[in-house]
Amino acid sequence: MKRVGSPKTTAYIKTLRVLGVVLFPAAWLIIKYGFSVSDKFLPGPVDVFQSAFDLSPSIISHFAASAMRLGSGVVLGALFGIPLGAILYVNRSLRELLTPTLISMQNVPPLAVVPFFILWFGFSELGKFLIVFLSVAVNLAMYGVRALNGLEPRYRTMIKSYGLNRLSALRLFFVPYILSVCLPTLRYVLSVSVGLVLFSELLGAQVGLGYLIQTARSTFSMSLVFLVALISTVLYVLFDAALVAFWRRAFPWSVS
Amino acid sequence: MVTRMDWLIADRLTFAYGDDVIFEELSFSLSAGMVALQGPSGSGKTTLLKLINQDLQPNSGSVRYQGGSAILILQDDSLIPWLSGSANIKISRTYDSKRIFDARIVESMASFVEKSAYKMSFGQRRYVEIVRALGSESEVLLLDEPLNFLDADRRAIVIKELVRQSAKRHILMSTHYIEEFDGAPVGRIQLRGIAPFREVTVL
Repeated sequence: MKRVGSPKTTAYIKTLRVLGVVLFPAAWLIIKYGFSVSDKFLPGPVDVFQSAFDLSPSIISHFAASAMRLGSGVVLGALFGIPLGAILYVNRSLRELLTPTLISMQNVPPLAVVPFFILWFGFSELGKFLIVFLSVAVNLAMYGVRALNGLEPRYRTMIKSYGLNRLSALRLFFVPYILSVCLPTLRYVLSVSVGLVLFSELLGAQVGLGYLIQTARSTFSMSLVFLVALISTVLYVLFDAALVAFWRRAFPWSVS
Repeated sequence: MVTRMDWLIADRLTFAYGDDVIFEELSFSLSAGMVALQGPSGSGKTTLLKLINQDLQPNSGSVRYQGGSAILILQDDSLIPWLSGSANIKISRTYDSKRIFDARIVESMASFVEKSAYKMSFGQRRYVEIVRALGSESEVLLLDEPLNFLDADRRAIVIKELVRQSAKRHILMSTHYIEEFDGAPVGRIQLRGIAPFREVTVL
């Protein structure tokens, strides 16, 4: 019996990676053409590709609009949420005061609050931005508190031994520590945020991938729905790859 | 200055990790400037140092030191990985290299002290950590295997410095290198046998 973690050959792993990439397109082609499924239920690759050129504004404009909403919400949400987590950890009064609200916000399904944001902020960009921003910030703040609660005793001992004050501890240790361990959480909130951006655009936007889905639904354009699904995946993969690459470069000591 | 008085007193100290009793009604006192804490691996040396530093709380009884402040160095290094060695040293608000008698100690880390801690070897990190403690103000130094990972030359100069500093501050350390102290006035506290420890030998 093979042991867990036994080495695999490089060629074997590379083959699996290629297979992983072609698995979905291959299944699509086999189901579509092997079983002669109607375009009404499953559009063919050519139709899907074609639908990208029938749009005004262009598919690139829609992609860029969604990417901007996603990028601004995630980046600013992280820039706010990570220091907030560290501040909540060092300031017990603030933590006691805000934790119930933050936990409530964290546990309400994000999609459920989108209609409220549309109601409060209309179709403005501010509402769409806040949906993503708050989701990212709240998740990262709560994660930051938990990460610091589980801090290794050696660091607690060091902080106590050398008498670091709150500000120094925040600046030199707590915030960088959260940054160095939060990548998995950030990747998770990124994937949630893609859904949030699309859903907010579904309810109220003039441009964006979510808006395209809404348009395609009303015209029964399955090929366009399929196109948007594929492009949404590309959007997530690009952001995720950029995030991981940035983290490796900016925080090389991180084990995440 | 070290006085002849007892500077550390354990009074009916009892401590357990859950049901696992480590110390039971243990009482002892220390008066020597520098004391080596000895015992087999897993005998509770680190636990005792953490209890003294109040990182752990006793189930009953107490262990207290004279003096306002202590620095505890554990076996796992606590340098902040993303900071350089010198930035790690500077996080100690009281660090002053003038506190270290032997200038060679500071000089001998010049080749790596500006590197980020995560890029240093175990030995280099350990060395920076010891220099930080030696140059920082505290009446008590609690050191858990401070000489581990150091090469023989660095061990020798650190030992010399520890002996010198024991005239000015109290030092309690666990170490497997006690023979390298070579006749220096080092008291000993011995944990013998297996837990729970009810008494120790103080030499």
